[in-house]
Parts: sequence; structure tokens; C-alpha cells
Amino acid sequence: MLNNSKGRLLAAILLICTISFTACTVKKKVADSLIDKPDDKIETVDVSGPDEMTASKLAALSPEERARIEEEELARKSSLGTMGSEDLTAMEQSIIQDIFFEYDRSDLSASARDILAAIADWMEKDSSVKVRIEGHADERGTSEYNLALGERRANASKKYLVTLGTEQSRLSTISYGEEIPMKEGYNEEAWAKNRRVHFEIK
Amino acid sequence: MIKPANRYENSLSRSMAVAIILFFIATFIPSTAQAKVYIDITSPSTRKFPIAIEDFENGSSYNEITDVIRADLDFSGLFNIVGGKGEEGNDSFWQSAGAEALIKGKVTSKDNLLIIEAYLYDIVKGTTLLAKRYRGEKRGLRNISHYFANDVLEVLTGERGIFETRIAFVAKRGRNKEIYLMDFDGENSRQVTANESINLSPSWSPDGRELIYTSFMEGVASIYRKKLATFKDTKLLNKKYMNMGGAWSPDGKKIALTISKDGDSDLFLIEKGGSSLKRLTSGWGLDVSPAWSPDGKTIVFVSDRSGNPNLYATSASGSNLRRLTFEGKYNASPAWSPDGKWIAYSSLQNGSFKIYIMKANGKDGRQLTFGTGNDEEPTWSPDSRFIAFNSTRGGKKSIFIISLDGSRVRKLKGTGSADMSPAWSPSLK
Repeated sequence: MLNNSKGRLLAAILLICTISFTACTVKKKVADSLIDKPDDKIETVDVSGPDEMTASKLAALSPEERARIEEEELARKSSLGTMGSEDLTAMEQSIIQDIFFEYDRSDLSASARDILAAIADWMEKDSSVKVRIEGHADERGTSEYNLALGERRANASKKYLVTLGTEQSRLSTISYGEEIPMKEGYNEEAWAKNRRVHFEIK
Repeated sequence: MIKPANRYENSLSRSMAVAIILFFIATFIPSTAQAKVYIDITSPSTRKFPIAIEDFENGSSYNEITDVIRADLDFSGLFNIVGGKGEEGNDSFWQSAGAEALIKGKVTSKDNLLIIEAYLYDIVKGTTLLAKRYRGEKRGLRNISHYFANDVLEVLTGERGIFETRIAFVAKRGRNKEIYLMDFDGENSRQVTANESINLSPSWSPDGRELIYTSFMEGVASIYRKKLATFKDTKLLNKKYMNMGGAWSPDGKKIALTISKDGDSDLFLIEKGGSSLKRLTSGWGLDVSPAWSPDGKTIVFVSDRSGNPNLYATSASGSNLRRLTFEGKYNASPAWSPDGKWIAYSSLQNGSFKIYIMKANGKDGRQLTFGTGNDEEPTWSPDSRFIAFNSTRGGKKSIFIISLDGSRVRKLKGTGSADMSPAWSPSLK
């Protein structure tokens, strides 16, 4: 192929290509000196720190400022439902018992219905009494689902009391879901004690 | 374009001519091309981009800056960090170490302010890709470093990083539970509720400036909106019945929530100001945990209407209600990826909860987390590449992050108490 003028021209072209190709990729020198130049053309950006109002920032404010902000926050604090029945007489304590449920169920067992009947009876005898019905669940599953389940259990208890003649206006329900266990423990013994409805005298 | 000097008559010569022309085209076009593709994050088997990070000048008191940059780039899974701390050298040194890009910088401080000049160099082509000055308070040092790491990611991948995002979560405080925020990397935990009761289910507004959460602070569980800049809470519904588990619509106008009345729990929609309550679901089942699709048209939620908790979807107008999960005894905590492609959830199979992901149409469900303990409550990073979740694999509940391909899991420091219910913030606009 190289034996004619056309071939030689071709080879020359290829050679030129190769040289140009190499030239095109020669590295440019990095300008480290960019660091030393006080370059006004560099873009400047302001970055703010974490700027949420936090509990510790609140605590660091002056008493007046803190009072102003916390007034709303703290005025809302209310104590959570208690678990004990401290102020009840012995007889009342034997009547106002917790009732318990199967896993993920809200149906009332026979013994639950007996307890509810005794409560309805007692409430009929003392018409001043109001009861808050608190629903709970064991810790398995999501806190949201367990809040809903606790509410379903509390409501099932309330409905039964109403069918037994208790005035609806004397009964209120609240659910605590899995948030206030009676017994801690990752086992069925603890869980069974937490799947409950508790009756709080008001 | 150079034409052949003479016309050739035979086909072999003609094809050689074509080959020469093509060779020239191939040679000259790359050298005039504008953009080099550094990292293609959409490609499934992306090679890790080798990058070196030198300590910043005058930065000895501020070592944390390069620590944060290193940790952020490593977290992304896209980089191979070449060389160790304290190493420095010229371009040929770094090139022979295998790096293709180099980060350098300089720190100056003035009173309470830090000024960081930072540079990103392509040491193969010899060009400066990024040159910027960042200013901020000293206490915001990590934020400045995260901002620069985001810029690096944007230059090299075309997408901004998620290094300035935050995770809201619940931590136990004695008998109570309060809401906290932390940086996405688990640092800087700070408490944002202080009502000494039980606070649950934090969820972000689309603009990242507010949280909604469920609190027992006034007795019955109710949803509150909190403006993070002021700590101020507003109760969403002024009703006596329980309302919980709110999720903000992507357009910022509505909140989906569960209302429990007379024992039944159903989904409702409400304007974020608390008006125009609209029922979304009805019937016997407990309907909880709504999560929006990013286009605002569909809501996925948990319902036990079939007998045990499963995922269902409904249009945002309440029509076209359909079941999505059919395996496992308990499916809950749905979270829709910001890019719209996936739904993550927790599923009870083989005795423990694990995180699963499925396509948005409910198909192709696959297990994402493995090992001991229970993994629950997934939440997506804004770039849809990571999921944070709560796990008992280490004993106490802690928050972990897993990459979407499942290859890397890391534990977040958090508060060290029992940390749970993570909610990943949007990226700040």
C-alpha cells in the first residue's frame, strides 16, 4: 500500500491525526495559585447554622422571654391517666377491675362482661359517679394502630355499659395505645396484662 | 473535515476514506465537548469516583470540616476517598494514588464567623470545577461543610446532595416521649417538644419549616402543628375525639389524618388551617398511618378491614380503594419514595418485622433489611436513595439508615435513649 503516492499520502494523514490527537489531550497545569489569589470573582454564600428553637435554647433565654413563649406550651400540660385506684374503698376496688383482651381483638370475654355488669350496677347505685374508660394495647405493631385498637376496646366497653342502662353522658373514653404498659417485658405474660381497659373514677 | 486528496475507485480504498473521516470526527469532537460525565447516579453499577481531600489551610482548629466532607462523600456511596487524613501533594502525586479529583480549601475566622474557601479540581483535565467562599457562624461549622459537600455532589452528579437534611424522631425521656431533630448523619440531637407527656409520629411540612405530631399533652391524643423557628404549637382540630398520625399533602395545603370516634378509626382530610374536614374512608376497619404519593393523587394507608393490618391505597378523593399487600400477618408504616417509584413498609413475616419495598402499584415486593430484631417505621431521604428506620437489632430501639440497594447499613448516634419514629426532612429550597 505504501508503494504508491496515494498510500504515502494516506500514511501522512494518519500520522498527522495521531499527533493532533495527542496534542488535544495534553493536560493543562492546575493553578494552585488560585488559593493565594484574593479572588473577588469567587462566589460567596452565607450558610446558617441549625436554627430551630429547641428546648435548650428556650432554657437559655431570659425568664421573661421564656415565660412568654412557654406560657402556651406549659399551660397545656396535663398529667396522663393514672394506673392505680388509690382512692377507692376495698369494695370498690373489687368491682372496678381492669378487663383484658385477646391479641388484636376487642370482643368482650365472659369474665369481662361480668365485671362490666358489676360496674354498671355500682354506677346505678351512685348516680354522681362518672367513669373514664381507658383503652390500652400491647407493644407489638405500630403505635398508631395500637392507639386505634385501644380506642376500639374502650368503646366496646362503653357500648356494653350503655346497653346495661348506664347513661352515656357519665362515660368517656380515651386511648393510650401501647404507651402506658401495665407490665414491661417482651413476652406474652407482659403483653397479656397490657391488652386491657382500665376504669378511672372521676 | 479533510477530504481525501484523490478519488479512489475501488471499494477498499473508499472504505478507508470513510474510516479516516470517522477517525477525525471521533478525534476532534471530544476535545470541544463541554460537559464531562463524572458520575452517573442513575446507572445501577456505578463505579466509585476516586477523590482526594486535603486538610484545609489554617484548618488545624477546624479539622471537623474535612471530617464532615469525607463522611458525607463516603455516605453517598458514590466515592472512593483516596489517601488518608493529613496527606497532601501535587497533582501527579494524587493522580498516581488513583484520584481523579481533589478538594482543597482554606479557613479564616473573624470573631464569631468562619470563612471557608473551598475548591474542587478535576486533576485529570486540569480544570477547576468549583471555587466558592462559604460564610457562617462557628457553631454552624458542620452546616457549612455539609453545604460544600452538597455543591460537590451537584457539580459531579448534576443533583444536589442531601447532606443538610434533618431527621425528626421520638426519644424516650423517662416515662415520657419527646420529639427531637438531628442532622441526617445522626449528629446534633436537639429537643423540640418539652411538654412532658407522650409525643408521637412527627411528620414534616413540604417546606421543611413545620412539624405535625400527635401529642397527649392535653389529655386525648391530638395532632399539633409546630413552627420550628418559634417552638409555637397550634392544635389542628378543636375536637374532643382522638385524632392522630397526620401526613401533609405534597402541595402543602391539606393534612390526611385518622379520627377515632365511637370506637371506629377512619381517614379524613383537613385544610392545614383546620377547616373543611372531609371523610376519606369509612367502615368497620381501623384505618391509620396515611402516606401521600409525591404527585398528591394517591394515599396509601394501613387498615385491618380484612381481619389483620394490611396496606391499602385510595385516591385523594376517596375513590378506587384497593388492597396492596397480601403476604405477612401485619403490614404497616407505609412511606412513598419522593421520586414516586416505591413504597417502603414494615412487614411481619417469619416472626419479626422487617423493612420491605414494593413498586408504587403494589407489585414486586422484596425484603430490604435482614438480621435480628424488629425493623419498623421506614422514612425516605429526599433523593430516594436511602431509608431511615427504627431497629432493635442492637437491643434498644435506635435509628438506622440503609441504602436502597441494601448494601450499606449504618446506625445513627441520636440521643442514646430509645430512638424511634424517624421522619426525614425535605431538602431546604
